[in-house]
Amino acid sequence: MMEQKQLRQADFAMGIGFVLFGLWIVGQAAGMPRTASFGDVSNVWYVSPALLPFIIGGCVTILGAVLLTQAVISGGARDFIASVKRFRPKITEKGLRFSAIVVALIAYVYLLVPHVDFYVATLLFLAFTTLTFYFEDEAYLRTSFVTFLIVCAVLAVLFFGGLAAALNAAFAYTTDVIALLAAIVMLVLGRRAARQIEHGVRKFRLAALLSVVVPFVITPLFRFVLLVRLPNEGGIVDLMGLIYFSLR
Amino acid sequence: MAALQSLQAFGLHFLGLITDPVSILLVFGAVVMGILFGATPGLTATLGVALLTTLTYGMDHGTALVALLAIYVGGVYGGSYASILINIPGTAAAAATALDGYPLAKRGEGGRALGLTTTASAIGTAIGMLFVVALSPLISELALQFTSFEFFLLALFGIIISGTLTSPDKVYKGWIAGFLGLFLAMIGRDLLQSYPRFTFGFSELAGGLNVVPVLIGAFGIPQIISVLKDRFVPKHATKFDRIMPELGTIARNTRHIIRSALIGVGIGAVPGIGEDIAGWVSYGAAKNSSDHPEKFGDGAYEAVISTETANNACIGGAMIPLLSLGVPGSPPAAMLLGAFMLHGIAPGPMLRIDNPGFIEEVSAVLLLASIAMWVAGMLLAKQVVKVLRVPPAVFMPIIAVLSVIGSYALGGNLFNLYLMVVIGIVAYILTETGYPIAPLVIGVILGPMADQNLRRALMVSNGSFAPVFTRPVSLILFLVIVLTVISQFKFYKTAMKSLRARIFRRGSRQDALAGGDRSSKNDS
Repeated sequence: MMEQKQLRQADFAMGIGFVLFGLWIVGQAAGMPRTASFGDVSNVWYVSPALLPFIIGGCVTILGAVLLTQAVISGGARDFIASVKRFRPKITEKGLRFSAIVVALIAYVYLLVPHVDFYVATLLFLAFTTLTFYFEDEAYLRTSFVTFLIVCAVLAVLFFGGLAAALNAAFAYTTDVIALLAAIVMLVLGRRAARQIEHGVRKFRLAALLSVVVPFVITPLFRFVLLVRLPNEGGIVDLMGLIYFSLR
Repeated sequence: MAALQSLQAFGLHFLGLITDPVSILLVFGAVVMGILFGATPGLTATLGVALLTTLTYGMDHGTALVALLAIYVGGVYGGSYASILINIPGTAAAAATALDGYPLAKRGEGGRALGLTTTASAIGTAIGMLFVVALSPLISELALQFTSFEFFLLALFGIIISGTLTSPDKVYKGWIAGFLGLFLAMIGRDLLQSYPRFTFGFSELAGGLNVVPVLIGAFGIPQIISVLKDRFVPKHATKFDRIMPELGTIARNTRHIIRSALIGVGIGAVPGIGEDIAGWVSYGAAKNSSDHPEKFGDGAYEAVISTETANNACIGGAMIPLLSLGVPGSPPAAMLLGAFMLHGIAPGPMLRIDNPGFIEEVSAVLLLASIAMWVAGMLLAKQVVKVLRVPPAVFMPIIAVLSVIGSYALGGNLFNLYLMVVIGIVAYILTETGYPIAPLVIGVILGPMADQNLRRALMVSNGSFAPVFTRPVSLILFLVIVLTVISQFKFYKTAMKSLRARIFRRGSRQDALAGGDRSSKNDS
C-alpha cells in the first residue's frame, strides 16, 4: 500500500473517478425499464432491474464525493495537482519491474494463449518472467524487457494483421515455430547475461529448467488428465496427443 | 434427537474417511501443499484454495471437498513457519504470530515455537469444527424462517461489516469496494426479468461474471504483481532443534486456548473477516489477560498459542455462515463457496434439505485435516522450511500460469481469462490505494442474493419497507447496519464520548456524595 501522503493524493484522483463512475451507473440504470414493460412483464419501480443499480450508483457517487472532500480537506488535492505539474517521466527499476510483469501478463493472456500453442506460449512467458525477475539485475531487466516487447510487437502484427492465418495455411505451425524461436532467443539472452551476474549460471540453469519443465507438466495435466481443451493446440500439444494416444 | 443424529452422521463420515486410504492420502497431500503455500511468503491460503479449485473440476464433490478443506487448514497453519523463522508472515493470518514467534526463534527456541503453533493450530481447528457441527444446523433451521427482507439485509450486512472491518485506510474505502463488488454482480441478465444489465452487447456477459475467475483475478493477480515488483531480499531462516508437541505448555495455557478459539470462531462467523483479524484480536486479548503482559513481544509462549489457535479456529467460524446462510466468513471461504457452486452444491438454509449430511461431512474433513496437519507439522517441518529459501521470482510466474489455465479451464472460455486479468489489475490498483479486496469479493458473491431478495421482498409487500421494522430479525439486522455506518461518523463518536463522560461524571459525583455521607456519619 502507498504512504499516507500518496494515499491522500490518490484519494483525490480516485474520488473523481468514483463520482463519475457512480453517475455513469445511475445513467445506465436510468435506461433500464422502470415502469414500462419488458418481455411482457409490466414493471413497477420496486421490481425493476434498475432498482439495485440505482442504489449502487447512488452510494458509489456519495462515497466518491466523501473521498474527494476528504482529499481536498487533507491537502491531498493540492499535493496531487502539484505533483502532476512537477511530473517528469523517469524510469525507475521498480517501475520497470512493474511494467514488465503487467506487460508479460497482458501479452500472455491476450496475445500468446489465444493464438500460440499452449506449451510454446507458456514457455515464452516463463522464459521471460523467470529469468528477468530471478536475475535481479537492472541491465538485464531492460534488455530482456525491450526484447520481449519487440517479440510481442512482431507477434501482434502477425496475429492481428491477418498474416498468421496465411503463414499457417502455407506451412503448418509457422506461428508456433516463430514463438518457439522467440522463447529460445529469450533463453540465449539469459545465458549470455548469466556470466556477468552473481550466481548467474546457477540461476539461469534453474530458470531455464523451470521454463521448459513446468509447461511440460501443466499442458498434459490439463489436456489429457483433466480433459480441458486448451485455448490453442498447435504443434507441441498435437505431438503430445500423438504420443499419449499411441501409448494408451 | 437431531443433535444425536447429527453426531452419528459425523461419526460415520469420519469413520468413512479414516478407513479410506485414498482420502487419507489426499488429506495429507493437500495439507502439505497448504503448509507449503502458507509457509511461502507471497502465497496465501486463499490462493492455494483458488488454484486447487481449478484442479478439482473433474473430481466428485466428496473428493474435492477433502482436498479443498485440507489445503485451507494447512495454508492457515503454514503461515507460522515464515513468521517464526524469518520474521516475515507467510500469510496475513500469521502476522501476529511473528511478534513473539521470531524472538523465540532468535533465542534458540524455534523448534519449541513451531511445536506450540502446530499443536495450538490443530486444537483451534478441532474446536472450530465442533462449532460447525453444533451451530450450523441450528442457524440453518433459523434461516429457514427468513423472508426476502432478511436475506437482502443479511447480504447488505455482510458487505458493510466486511468493508468496515477490513479497510486498511479510511472505512468508506471498504464500503466503496463492497459496492464495486455489488456492481460486478449486476452484470448479466437479471434473474427475475432476464433484462441484460451492463452487458454492452457482449453475449459472454449475458450469463453474468463467473465467480471463480473473478476470485482468482482479485486474489491472485495483485499478489503476483506486488511480489514481483519488489526485489527479493533473501533472509536466512533461524536454525531450530527438534519439534516437540509441547503438550505440557499447551495444558498450562488452556484458558488462552479456549478464549482464543472462541474469538477465532466468533470473528470467523462475521462475513468477510479473515483469519488475520482473529489473530490480532486474540493477541490483544491474551496480552490484556496475561499475568506477564510485559513479556509480550519478547517471545511469550501464550502469544503464539493464542494467535495460532484463533486463526485456525477461524476456519470453523468462517464455515458456519457459509454453510448455513451461503455467506462466506473469510476470503478463503469465499473461494470455497465458488468451488462448492462448481460442484453443484449451493450452501445456504436449503443445504440440509438438498444435501443432507453435508455439514457433518465438512466437519469430519476438518477434524481429519487438523490431525493430518498436526502429524505433517511434527514430521515435515525441517523439509518445509526449505521453501523459505526459494525466491518468489521462481514460483510466482508459475502461479501466474496456473491462475491463467485455471480460469480458462472453467467452461473452456477465453472470455473468463480476459476478465481475470482486467479484474486482477483493477484489484491491484485498489489494493495499492488502500481499498480492501475482501468486501469486493463478498459483494460479487452476495450481489445476486441482494438483488433478487430486495425486489422479491418489495413485490410481496407492494413496495412497502414496513416489514423491515415489524420483523425482529430484519429489524436487528437493519439496526446493526445503521449503527455500523453511523458509528464511523465523527458526530456519533463525539456524542458517545460526551455521553460516556456524563455518565461517569454523574457516577463519580454520586460516589463522592456517598463517600461524603459516610464520612459525615463516621464523624458524628
